[in-house]
Amino acid sequence: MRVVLAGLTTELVLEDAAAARDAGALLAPYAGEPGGTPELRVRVRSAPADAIGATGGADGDGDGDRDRDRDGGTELPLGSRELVVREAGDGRFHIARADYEGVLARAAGHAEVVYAAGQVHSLSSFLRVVSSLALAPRGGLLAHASSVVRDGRAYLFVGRSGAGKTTICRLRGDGRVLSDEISAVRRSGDGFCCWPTPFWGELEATGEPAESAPLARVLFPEHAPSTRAISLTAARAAHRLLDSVVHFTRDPADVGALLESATAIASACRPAVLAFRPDRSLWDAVER
Amino acid sequence: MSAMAGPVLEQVVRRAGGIAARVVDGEAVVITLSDGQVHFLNGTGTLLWQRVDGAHAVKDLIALLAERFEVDDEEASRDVLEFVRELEEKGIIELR
Repeated sequence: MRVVLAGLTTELVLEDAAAARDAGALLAPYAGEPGGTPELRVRVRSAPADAIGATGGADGDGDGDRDRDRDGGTELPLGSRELVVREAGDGRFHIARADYEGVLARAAGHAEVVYAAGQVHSLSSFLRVVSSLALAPRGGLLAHASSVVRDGRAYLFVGRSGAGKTTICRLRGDGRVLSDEISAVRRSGDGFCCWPTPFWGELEATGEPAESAPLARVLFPEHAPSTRAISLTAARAAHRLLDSVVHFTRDPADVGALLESATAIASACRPAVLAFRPDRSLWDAVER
Repeated sequence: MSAMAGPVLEQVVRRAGGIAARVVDGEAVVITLSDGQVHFLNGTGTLLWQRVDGAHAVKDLIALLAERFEVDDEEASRDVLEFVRELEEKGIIELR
């Protein structure tokens, strides 16, 4: 199965019927063109929930050496207390939660996961971590942000829960939502593109084919009695954007890459605080 | 003993090892790797930050601030010492 996962061309090798069913449910709207070399190959295998962690797991290259890195790296409990992303120190990341266990060999562009059969959200969580780690050195990032395309231009609305990300998506009019919760941005030529992701929040994914669009503007929504966009300096915007970036490593090279991407996005994409009243007139301020 | 307790004006200021930093349009963004915190420096802070290079002492920062903003040494000293203390506490800079 070939998909574009948060802007990354990805080949999924689905090893059993449940994996094919779950991956199809999650990723069908993101089908990519066949051919060419994918940036990521992900082997996906399902198992009974009570067998996760006792299945032999996934070691990234199929040679059964998953224990080799046990002594290296750093355990980083992040976000969910159960999620652990451990850097093995050789470009490999072990990614584990109670409902899945996997590995990413980033330099090779190869990942493997075994997850609880039927748990689409488990597969989604693993792919979110993998795409975050894979985007960083490629000039991209995942952010807690909704994204809407109008007239061929993408607008990114960055903020944590309650900021208004989903409200703005509901007011999209004839716009198209790329995600209401976690959006992907990746360098494209001199600018940046915003890509659809399968990582959604309150809104359901539309199920319609979703296409990327050039990123026109980065906005930080705040509820207000009236609507106006208040320009931000690039550094202040980068600061705010970085606070909302989805990342799972403290590796200096990765953090440096995210910092560079965030400052470049903030410089290029007219950042502003969007103080908004929830009606469709907000688009006048956004698109101005 | 805190570094601030010594002859602080003579101490050389340098950036700590565990940070990532970038200046954009005259303002700096700094990330401390140990805790993942993101810090913002305004224009004045960034002016000082660009002299935090392992070659300049605290007294050099004070002289820079006094000259650039035409303030007396006492006011410049107060502002720079506050800047240095705060960034040292956050693990962004080191004094030697």
